[in-house]
Amino acid sequence: MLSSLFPGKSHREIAHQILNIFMIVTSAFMSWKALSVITNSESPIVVVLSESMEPAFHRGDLLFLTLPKQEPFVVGDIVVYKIKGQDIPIVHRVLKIHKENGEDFILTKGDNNSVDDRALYNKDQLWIKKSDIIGKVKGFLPYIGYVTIVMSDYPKLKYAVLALLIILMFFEKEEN
Amino acid sequence: MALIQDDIDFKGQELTEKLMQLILIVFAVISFVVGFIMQSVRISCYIMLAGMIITALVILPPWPFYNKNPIKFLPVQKKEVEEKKEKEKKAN
Amino acid sequence: MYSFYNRGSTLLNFLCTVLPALLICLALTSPILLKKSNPEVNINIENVYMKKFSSAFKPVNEKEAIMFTKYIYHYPYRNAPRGDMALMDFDLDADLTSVFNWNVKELFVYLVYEFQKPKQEFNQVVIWDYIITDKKDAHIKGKNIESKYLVTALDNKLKGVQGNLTLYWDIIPNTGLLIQKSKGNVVVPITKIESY
Repeated sequence: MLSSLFPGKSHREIAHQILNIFMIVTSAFMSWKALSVITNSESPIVVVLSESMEPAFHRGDLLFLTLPKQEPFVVGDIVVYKIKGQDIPIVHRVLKIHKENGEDFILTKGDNNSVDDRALYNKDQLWIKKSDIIGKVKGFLPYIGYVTIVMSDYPKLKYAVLALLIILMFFEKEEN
Repeated sequence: MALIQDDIDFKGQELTEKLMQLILIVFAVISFVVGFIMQSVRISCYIMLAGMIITALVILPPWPFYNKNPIKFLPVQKKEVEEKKEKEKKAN
Repeated sequence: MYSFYNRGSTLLNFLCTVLPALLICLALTSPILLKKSNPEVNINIENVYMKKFSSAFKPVNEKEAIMFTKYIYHYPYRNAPRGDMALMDFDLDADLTSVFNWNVKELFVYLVYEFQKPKQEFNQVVIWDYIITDKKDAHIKGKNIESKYLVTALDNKLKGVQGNLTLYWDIIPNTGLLIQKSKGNVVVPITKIESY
């Protein structure tokens, strides 16, 4: 059955092709994890999903995050954080910060929002902690991430592109 | 596959590759320098866009000046064709 | 390069090298141009109002009513305000036109009140913020500007606090790294409410 997927190739050539595919996938994964380690952030590249930081960031902008261990948080930093129990990361700016006994109490607000984020926090939660923060925004590229937004809004498109890539991969090997 | 004749000879292919690199790099440099002097990213974008369109117009269609050195194929050798026909007759 | 499709594919491929190279060059010009900038900042405090809020609170003058409205507006889900809160009026004259260059998309300007207390070693509160997107709007001039956000402390006591007021601006580029700079420093002690 396997030899019908790869027409006219010997077993060794088939194994070579499969190994190539694995190498590509694993090196992509390794580079992502290496970037995570270097920046000390669990998700060093994120795409902006909401318009709450306009006109600074628009939907589809790519953000680069770092979380340096020794660097303290100050107001005005743009941070990406997750509220405990919720999955969606939020990109907002630090409005207030109080430090007591070495622990940070942080309040955030989106530039384009008229109220601060206490409306988003959990019930009775007034502050977020350093442990809720995924990273600080250090740099950005405009509009590059719009592809991922289109993919998640139209999931059929994602499967179509994936299928196309797999088909192209099989036709790529040159004749010797 | 192609409905229209869109291939060009080898010298022409070399020419398209060189032209593409030349035009794009020249436009990229101009776009950066002019944008920097005028301090406007918008002007840079427009110049680069113009460069991309011009490159596409120059190298994508098979212009006749790419076909100046057509490939010279050897003439058909009658002996080989006759020998093949005899072998087929014997096999049948 | 023997077909239309092939030439198009090579073109797109080469663009994927040229365009990122341009973007990187753009990002690299930012720190060079920033060195030439020369912003002028002048902050002056007009008045500081501090009021202890409690559940029996009723605003007695216009400033207290403003503070109450700000609290309710900013914390619509919370209980009635409790503890010390401060509102500040200030004059600001900031010339930030020289900070703008071709790689600056926006300047996020914010006024920060920073203070220390015996149990809380670090406190920073943004009292006012403003967005500038264009070079011609970059000279901010205002008298008696009211702060947007109230100053509070973790333990709800602000008596005797002495802090600094500084103007910060966050440079958001078209491409590249975000940079924060600041200038201007005014010492502001928090006093009891002024009679209005």
